[in-house]
Amino acid sequence: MQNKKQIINLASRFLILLILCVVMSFLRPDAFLTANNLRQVLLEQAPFTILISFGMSLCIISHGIDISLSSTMVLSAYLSANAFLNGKYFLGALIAIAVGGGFGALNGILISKIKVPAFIATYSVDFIALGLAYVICDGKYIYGFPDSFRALVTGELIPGLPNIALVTIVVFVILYVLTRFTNYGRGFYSIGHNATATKLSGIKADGIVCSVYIIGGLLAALTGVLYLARLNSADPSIRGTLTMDSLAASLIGGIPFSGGTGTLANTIAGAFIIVVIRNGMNILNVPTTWNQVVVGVVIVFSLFYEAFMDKMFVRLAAKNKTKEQAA
Amino acid sequence: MIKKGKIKIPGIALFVIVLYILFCFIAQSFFSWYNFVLILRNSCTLLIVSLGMTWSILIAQTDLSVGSVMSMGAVMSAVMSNAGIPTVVIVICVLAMGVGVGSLNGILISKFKFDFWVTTFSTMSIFAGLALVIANGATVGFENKFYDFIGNATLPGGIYWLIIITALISGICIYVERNTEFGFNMFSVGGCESAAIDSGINVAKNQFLVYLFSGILSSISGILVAGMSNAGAPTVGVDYTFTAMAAVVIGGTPFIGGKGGIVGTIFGTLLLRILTSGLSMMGIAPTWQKAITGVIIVSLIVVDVVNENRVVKNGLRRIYTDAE
Repeated sequence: MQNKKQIINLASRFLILLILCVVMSFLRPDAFLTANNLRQVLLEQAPFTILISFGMSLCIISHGIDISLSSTMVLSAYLSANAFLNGKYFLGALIAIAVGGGFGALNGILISKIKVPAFIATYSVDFIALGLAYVICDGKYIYGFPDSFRALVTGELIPGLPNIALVTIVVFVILYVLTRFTNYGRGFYSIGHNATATKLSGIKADGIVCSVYIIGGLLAALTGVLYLARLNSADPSIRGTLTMDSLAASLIGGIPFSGGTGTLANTIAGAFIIVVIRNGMNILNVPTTWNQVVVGVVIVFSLFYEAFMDKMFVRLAAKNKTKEQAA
Repeated sequence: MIKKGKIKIPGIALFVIVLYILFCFIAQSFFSWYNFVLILRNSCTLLIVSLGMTWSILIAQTDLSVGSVMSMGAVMSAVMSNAGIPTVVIVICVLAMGVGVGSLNGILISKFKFDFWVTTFSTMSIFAGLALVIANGATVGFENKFYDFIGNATLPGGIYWLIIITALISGICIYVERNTEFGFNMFSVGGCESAAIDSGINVAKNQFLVYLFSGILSSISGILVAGMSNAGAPTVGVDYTFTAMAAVVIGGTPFIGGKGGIVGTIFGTLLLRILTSGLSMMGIAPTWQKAITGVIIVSLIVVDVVNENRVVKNGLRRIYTDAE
């Protein structure tokens, strides 16, 4: 069902990723091109960005945005930490789901029912979630998680593939099937294109929009739990630059900010690009103060690239049309 | 074409006065000339930033980069002053930076037709990062007679020169908003962009100018804040973006734009600063102050959005039902 334009778009993003990797290999083959580095970056670090970017991408596709994902992640990590610490995995999972789903629902209701602009609503929820996380954290550090819990991230069910990469692949397959092969998922694209027309067609747009934010919240909760397993501690600094990274990943991956098109494969390409850029800057000893500038430039570049691709396809379509008319 | 007649005092002004009187009763030390002047002084930097923000919200968009431009202005002032560059050159450079960033935003949004949110978000990130780079990651202290004067000097009687400068700039902006074609067109562009285009208004030029002014005003605010603290902190502007948005919306310019203006924003700014001052006089810890202020801001914004939606719904109801 994907038309030529989408396939070319996706391929060009992976081409950008390839070019980046080639450049990095050229500059520092000793540090970048090692199996250890590539495995760590692509299979162990990238999944965190990828999962949050999934949530962000789904929101962008439906013409919204969610800035609160990273804070929801921190909060659900802290609240479920004690349960996981004591081996009560089911309870921990329940708490994480409740926190992620709850804050996602809060976003969803503010945006779909009360019609607060997406940016304001998610910014406020981000403020609230982060504030709560700091109050609960209160400077305490929680550490020492059981090994069976840590195996969620560090173990290898399939030899050679860290479990976290496996989890990400499973999540990707579920969400991809959901968005591309179900009516519910196609609702995201429909709402992103034209919310009014969608509502007038009888589709329950409000409910769908709300559920998009709930999915984002659940993904954030999952990422929080995975961070607990990876770092073996509950740490507020995991919030890091995830908000900007996930936004940049979605945009450079090929999902236009106005929504309506783009798949989660685009998100993965974009997330890899961002992770490779950060890894590259790290290896090249670029001072960390430049990181924010670079990611901002990446976002601007993606805007220009998007405009460029649109223009190219318009010209291509016009050329094909004149060819048809001449024939 | 041009707004004749008296300047309308918005309803928020009453709220501001009531809040001030309330705090006078709650906290004894609140009611004093010294504190009053202090509140005015603390409102100045926020107000200048909010002036530019008012216009970008008026045209139904938002300029998220104002905080970063302010940080850049402060940091540039500090670093260049320490390098021995003459003050005149520093001020020109900072204003040029404001013009540059404003023009960048303006061109990307009005000419290239990029989405305003992503564009200003990325500009915000880029220049926040550049501010960190220039300042080498830490606050840069500096000593400069001119900066110290505009930031801290007072007239006999206690009025800061800062307040007078801010009042002057606000007055100029109010004049521009009411008596120029640019100002008048902003309301049309914000009210309904497609109708404005069809009416022959040069919407692209209007949008460009809005972002240009936003950049200039934010850089001026950066100069002022550097003067007030005799330091350039690269993260000084981080909270200003959202607080300026709050000041504008509380002051009566809704996010969907088309109405409101600077007069309301002045009262919105005063309200926020009276709130901060009053809470600290009550002895509430700074973290809780931030939390309370944040909750109040969010509630006021939500109330404003709900109200605007109600007004739009009622308007549509009037249009689409047969009125007798």
